[in-house]
Formats: sequence, structure tokens, C-alpha cells
Amino acid sequence: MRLDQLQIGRRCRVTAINFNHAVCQRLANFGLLPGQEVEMSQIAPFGDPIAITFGGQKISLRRREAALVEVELIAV
Amino acid sequence: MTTTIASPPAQQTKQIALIGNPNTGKTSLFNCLTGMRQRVGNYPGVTVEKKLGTVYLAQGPATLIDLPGAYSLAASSLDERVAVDVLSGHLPGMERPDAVVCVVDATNLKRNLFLAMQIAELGIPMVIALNLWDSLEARGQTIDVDELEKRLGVPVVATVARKSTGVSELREAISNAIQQERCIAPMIWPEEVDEAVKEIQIAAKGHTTVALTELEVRRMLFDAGSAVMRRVESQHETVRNAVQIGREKLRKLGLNPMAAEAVLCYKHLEKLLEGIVKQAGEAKGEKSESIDKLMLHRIGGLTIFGVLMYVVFQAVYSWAGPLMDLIDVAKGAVQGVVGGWLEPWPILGSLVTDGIIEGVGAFVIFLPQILILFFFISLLEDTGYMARAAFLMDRLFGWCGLNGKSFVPMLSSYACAIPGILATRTIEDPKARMVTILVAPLMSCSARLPVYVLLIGAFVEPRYGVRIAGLALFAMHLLGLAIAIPAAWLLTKYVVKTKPQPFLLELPPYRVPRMQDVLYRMWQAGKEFIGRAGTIILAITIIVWALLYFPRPVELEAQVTEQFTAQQIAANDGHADLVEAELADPDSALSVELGNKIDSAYTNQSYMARIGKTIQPVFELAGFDWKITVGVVASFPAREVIISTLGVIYSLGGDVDEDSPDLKTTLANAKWPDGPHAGQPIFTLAVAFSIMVFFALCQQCGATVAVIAKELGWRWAMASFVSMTAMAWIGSVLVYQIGTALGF
Repeated sequence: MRLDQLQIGRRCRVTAINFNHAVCQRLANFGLLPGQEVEMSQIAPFGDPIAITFGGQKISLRRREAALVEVELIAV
Repeated sequence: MTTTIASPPAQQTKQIALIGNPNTGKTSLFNCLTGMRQRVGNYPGVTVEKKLGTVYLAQGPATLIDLPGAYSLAASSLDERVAVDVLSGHLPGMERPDAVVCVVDATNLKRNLFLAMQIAELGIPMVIALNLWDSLEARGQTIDVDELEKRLGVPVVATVARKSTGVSELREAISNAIQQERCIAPMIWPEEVDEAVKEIQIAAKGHTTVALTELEVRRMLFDAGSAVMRRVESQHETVRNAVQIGREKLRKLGLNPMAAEAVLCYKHLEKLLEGIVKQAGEAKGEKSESIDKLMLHRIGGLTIFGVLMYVVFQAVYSWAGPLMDLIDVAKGAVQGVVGGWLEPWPILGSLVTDGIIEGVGAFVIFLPQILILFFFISLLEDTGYMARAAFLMDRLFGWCGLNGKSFVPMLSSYACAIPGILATRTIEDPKARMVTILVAPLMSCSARLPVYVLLIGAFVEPRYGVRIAGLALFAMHLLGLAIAIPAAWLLTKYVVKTKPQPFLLELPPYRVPRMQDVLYRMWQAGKEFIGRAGTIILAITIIVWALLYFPRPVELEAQVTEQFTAQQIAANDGHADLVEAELADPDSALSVELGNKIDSAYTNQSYMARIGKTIQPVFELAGFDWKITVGVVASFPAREVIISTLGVIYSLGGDVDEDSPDLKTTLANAKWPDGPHAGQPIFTLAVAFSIMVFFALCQQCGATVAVIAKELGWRWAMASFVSMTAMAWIGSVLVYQIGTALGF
């Protein structure tokens, strides 16, 4: 599944990132790399953007960019 | 350009750069290290703010450069690019720093040290400031500082900038760093990377003015839109091919070139930081997370946001009121005193009192609003709420090409477009930033308020009551926004051709702000604002004054006096002695009236009035007579001038304000002397709204035009000026024509 499809509070692990987009390089600099665990923290009141937590930091990004990140759910 | 004044190179003031991720308390630390010894300016050629301060080290005073916050040297924003250029010594007019202090968030070592590792490649002596140590302790964690220092190879100092803890230790470490020149051991790259770097260097030989360093080549290899690539005129086929071949090598290694640096560096840091962070006490739940559950809640979050913005607005409007009145009174007093001194030289007296003091005073009066606004902006930013506001608002602004970060500049522009435009510097995306700057002047700034208050007070309130008047005032404030949103959409789609940037924003943990920082920021904003008053505003006021003052035929005064006296004598049944006696007293009501009549007569034949009369036909369609036209034309440099100009033209003297009952009555009673509407009132409801719409949409602010020119260049400033003026004219014509047709 893709990162933008995650429900609030669910955790996942990054499996692949589409690095053809420049934004993914910036995400990588934040430490969002394959293998990284991520939690969906918030969805903005109007549905977009979303806020994710990983590596002790919270980053907000739009759904369009989150869709470039493939993830797998981590069983709770 | 900094503090050195022809001192021999050996004793030259040391330059120390302060860098770090955003939200690490870097500015607090800068303030701690330098105190009030700060200077703010711009980097040459770009609009990124340059902050310099003096820090006292064992070797003597040194210059501390506060670089803009950056997450990496990949330089995706203007701020980051400036940081890179300064550190690598590529910014013209700036020397490469002698040492760099990297401010690191102790609670997020890995990501923060990513930047430090990149800087390490520049080979500059470094000191690491582990800031936010208290937040780390609050989490029940600690860091083995000695071990970290050993592994990194550079001094590491724990600091709490908010409480000024660790600052003297940091100062000492900087002194040592300059002497010992200790640098972080740079990463060891896989062979393939080194090979690729060498090949690119060879390929680039002869195609660049200076040989490329390994670091620069690596940036070309790793970054998609590399700033180095653009800078070193290396668009040559051979160089590009070499970069492509290098990237192929990385791919064979199983590394995506765009991610290779991050993957390798994070792997390196993982090993370096092993066992460094220790859980000392009980792990506590993140407080920020529970606050965010409320602050970013669908209903709760938006409600809190609404309330907060309401409070900011109320404060900017109402708290500033008494202070603005005070400035106004002070201005009047100064005018009185100076006017007295200059009495023997009427032209100079008028220039100084009616021109300079009046014009600059009308500008300085907005200082309280700027200060209050920036107080709240820095409070909201330092607590971490500003990022949340951008998060909440992004959807509303995103669709038309702005982004969540446009919200604050737009809101600020409701007080004054100048701080609003300056506040756009927080927007990383150059396209969204540009569009925000262009629509910001449409927001109803506080200088438009007097016009609304005057006209609504004179024409809406008496007829429809206070409630409708309030509604009209609200509608006038909404109008700008209603135009700005579609304008932004059009600009994004058809005019501004820059590539849009994705919205990527850190939501930092909530923190208690350091009051000194908030006050510093407020003080700096005020200083910058006042600085403008001394330059462009001063020049413009003098021009407008001259246009209103000249020509000055002496005989006019005698003519008006004679005519007026004759009229008064006739009105008093021929008692010439009574009238003359009263006129002999300069403070009598009759003398004041005569004085106003003379002022009015001079104004009516001034160059400005001639211009107004000449172009009045253009505004005929909007229902303006020549007097309103003069008011409108005179207000192009600064819209607040309209009130005093109308006061002068309608011979009430220059000292009227929007609440003057005299001005309201005079306007209400003004009638067309001739023409098709002869005898009818000039100010119908349609005219009043036509004027207000004109003021709402027009770029009548020389200072704003100047600021746009500084941020985007003169072409954009002129485009903004022309298009807003055209919009204002069309808008007011529509309002007048439709309003008149409907019988208002």
C-alpha cells in the first residue's frame, strides 16, 4: 500500500520510494528511507496534508507526495 | 563589508558561521552569544536576511554570522542555497568562515548530524552545540558527550539556549576550535563514488573557471537540481555525460543516485551514534503528541486556530489604537514647535511640517501595529504553532497555488503589506512565495481603514444604522481576499512560470519561547520598518508636498482675503469694524476659516490639482469629481494621505482625521457646482462605495511597491502596480455604474 492510504494511528515500514521525484530526496534527507518505520499521526481538517512521525520527528506533507512512498503495515 | 576596517590580515576579525536545522533554537543561541550587538541586512543579490553579531572570544571580538536554517546542503530553498554558498566561500563579498558552529537538536541527533556530516566535507573547523538539552532530559534521556566528541573528532557542548546554559562553555570551545582547527572526520565513500567523482572532475576540466572540488562534484552527482551545477557553468555535454555515467555506477551498486547520499550517510551515522543516547530515567510520553491531538483536530483545531487569529487581529487593531493616537499627538506637537521655529521661512516651514513631518508621521504611525504583529508572529513561530497553522490551512490555500505558509503573510498584510511581504521569506517554494507577494497588497491593510471609517461613517451609518455599517466594514475587508484567491490561481496558472515546490514541513515539538528572542525580533522588525521611513517615504512625501504647495502666487492670498472680508462684512450688515477686529485676532473662528480658505485656494490651483482636473474625466465613470480625483492621485504614494488631502481641498485645514465631524458633514453636503449633476450631492452611496472599492484594490503605497521591487525586481513591482490600479479603476466604475443604476 501507499503511505497516503494509511489510517490515523497506524504504523508501517517503508518498502520503496520513487526517487525520480526531487521531493523524495528531501524526504530521504529527513531519514525517510526504505526500512524506516513510520506512523500516520494526523490528517489535516480538510483531508490534506497529512502528518507522519518517524525517527523522533513529525513531518507534514501532501497526499500527492506521500503517494510516492510504498509501505507495508506493521501488525499491532 | 563586515567589521574589519583596513586592519592587517593577520589580525583580521575571525568569521564564525552559525548553522543548524530549523527549530533547533539556533536564533536563541545567536542572541545568547551576541546579545544586542547585532546587525541585520541582506545577502548581496538575494533577499535572504543576513544577521551578523559580535561574539567575544579569548582572541578578541569575532563576527558571528547567523545562517538561515537548513536541513541539508542540497539547497532546495533559497535559504539553504545561501547557507551553502557562504560556507563554501562562493557568496561574492563574503569571506569563507574560519569556523562553524553547528547547532544540533539533542533530541534528534541523527537527522541533525546529517547536516554536520555534509558541512564536514567543506573542511571547516567545527563545534557542535547540543542544544535543547533540557528537552532531552525531559524525555528521561542523556547523551554521552565525551564519547560523542571522541567519535566525531570535534568539540561537543551541551547547551540550553532558552536558559542561557552552556553559553560560556560554547564560547570557549569556539576559541579553541579556531586555534586547533579540528574538523569532523568526513565520511568514507564507497570506491565507486570516489571513482565517479574523479571522472567528473576530469571531464569538467577546462569547462569551468575554477577546478571543481570533490565536494562540489559530489553535490552534482547526488542532487537533482544542483546549485553547483548551475553555478559552475557546467552545462556542457561532456560534464553532463560524466555525471550520468557516475550515476549509472551508483545504480549498479544498488543505490539510487538521488538517495545514495542519504542512505550512505544515515548508515554511517547509525554506526557512529551506537550507544551514544542512553535512557537515564523513565521514558515519558510525548507531550507534543497529545497537544497535537487537540490542536490539529478537525473541529477543535480549527476552532482554536480561529480564536487565536481573532486574538491576534484584535490585538493588532485595538492595542495599537492608543499608541497610534499617542504618535499622532506627538506628531502634532512636533509640528507645532518646529512650525514656530520656521515661521520666518514659510516655504521651509511648510516643507518640514506639512511635508516631512506629516508624511513620515503618517508612516511611522503604523509602527505599533508592526510591533504587535511581529510580537505574535515570533510567539507563534517559537512555540511551534506556526507550522501547525500552515498544516491546517494548506488545503485552503494549496489549490490556488499558494501554500499553508502563505497564511501568515496574508494575515499580516491585513495590518500592513510590508511586514506581510517580508514574512513571505518563510516560504521555501519560490513560486508560492512570488504569488503570495503579488496578492498580499490586496489584503485590506490598516491604512485603508481610515477611508472606510470615514465614508461608512458618513454615508452608511446615518442611513442604515451601526449594524449594517459594521457589516459594510467587514465586507470591505473581505473584498481583497475574495479577489486575491482567484488572482493567485490565475498567477500560478498563467503568469508565474517557476516550477512549484512540494509542501514539506516539519511540525516541531511545542516549546516555551524565550521572551528575549520574541522581543528582539519585534525590535528588529520595527527598526527595519522605521529605516524605510527615512528613505523612500521621505522622498515621496517631499514630491507630493511640492506638487500640492506650488505654484504659490502671492497675490492669491490677498485676493481670497479681500473676497472673504467683503463677504463677511455683507453677512454682518456692513459692520466692517467688527469683522476686521475679529480677523485681527489670529485665533478667532473667522481667522481660522480664512486661513483654511487660503490653503484651499492655493491647493485648488496647485500642480496636483491641475493634474487632478486634467485626469478627472478618467474617473468620471467612477463618479469622482476633481476633488476626489486629486485625493486619489495624491494618495498613490501612501493611501492614508487621502483624509488630510480631502481636508485641505474642502478647506478644513490639514489636521482632520476620519472621525472629524466636520469632514463627514462637509462631504455629505458637497454638491456638483455644474455639469450634468449640478446641484446634486457628489457623495451618493454609490460614489462612497466606488471610492472604497478603489482604495481596496489599488496599489496606493509607495513603500509596498519599493518592497516588492526589492524582493522580486522592478518589473514585477511595476506589473503589480499597473494591474492593481487597472483593477481598482474597473472595480470602482462597476460599483458606481451598477450602484447608480440601482438608485443608490
